[in-house]
Amino acid sequence: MTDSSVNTGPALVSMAQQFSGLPMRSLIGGPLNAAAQANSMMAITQTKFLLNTCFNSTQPEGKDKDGKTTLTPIMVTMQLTRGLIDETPGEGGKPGKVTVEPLQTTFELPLLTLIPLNSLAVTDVQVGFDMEVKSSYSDESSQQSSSSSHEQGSFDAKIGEGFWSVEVKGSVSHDSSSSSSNKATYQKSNNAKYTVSVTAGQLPLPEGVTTIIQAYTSNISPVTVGGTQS
Amino acid sequence: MQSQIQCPLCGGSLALNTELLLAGHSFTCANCGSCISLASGSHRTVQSAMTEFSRLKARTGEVGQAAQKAIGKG
Ligand SMILES: [Zn+2]
Repeated sequence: MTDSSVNTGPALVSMAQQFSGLPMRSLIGGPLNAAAQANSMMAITQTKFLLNTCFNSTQPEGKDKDGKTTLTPIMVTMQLTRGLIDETPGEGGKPGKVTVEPLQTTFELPLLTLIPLNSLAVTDVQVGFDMEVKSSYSDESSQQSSSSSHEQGSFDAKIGEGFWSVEVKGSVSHDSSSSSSNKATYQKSNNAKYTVSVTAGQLPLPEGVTTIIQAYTSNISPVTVGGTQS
Repeated sequence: MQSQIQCPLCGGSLALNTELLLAGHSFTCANCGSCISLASGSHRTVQSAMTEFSRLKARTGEVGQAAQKAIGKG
């Protein structure tokens, strides 16, 4: 129910007006740029880690001291166990005896392969800028009205002529009551908040690293420990 | 933390988890059934590389911190 006693308040400021003049480019671009810079610094650190931890470097000596440093991948030894089936034929038509002997071999793997370098990647940086513009108007008013009326009347009429008559009897009654209450709230607030979310995930390894890994793993040949060469 | 290698026996694809390898687990090739684990002699090498790696991984948060700092300036 609307009532003339409810104050409609001041006119609201338009949304477009609230946002105009905000330097959106620098508000969001600044933090994003800083994140990109930090990420490239991180990439350098990661490359250093890769070279220092996963490779042995050989410095040129003597005459050749101006030559290039040689990097050799650090290899780790892996153990491979497989079942060796040994079948002894049965005598006199009896079924043979089958035994499975574990055979242990070793092979070398570049340490580089075991370090999940690709999971160091920052796959996503999101800088969110939330601005909340709330304009609503506030005035509290309540109004209650109640009215009640009661009317009653009766009439009696008789119209008759001859042998027929019509009798009308009636009553009128009216009741009314009304009540209303109105509440309006006015809040004005401008909130701005940033959200920064960084997602680290898996990215494909750089081609150079993949090539090194492939070169060293495609020719893995197991060496049998204390047994026949497989 | 998965690494993919080729099974030295059958050439099949084999996924290894370095942390589990360090914990002594072995991985079985789905193709030929051979079991692969880390030889005890290489445990220390892998362990120290992984420690360094974890330190590096923890630093990925610096990217977000740099963004936060830039907000402070703005
Ligand atoms: Zn296999």
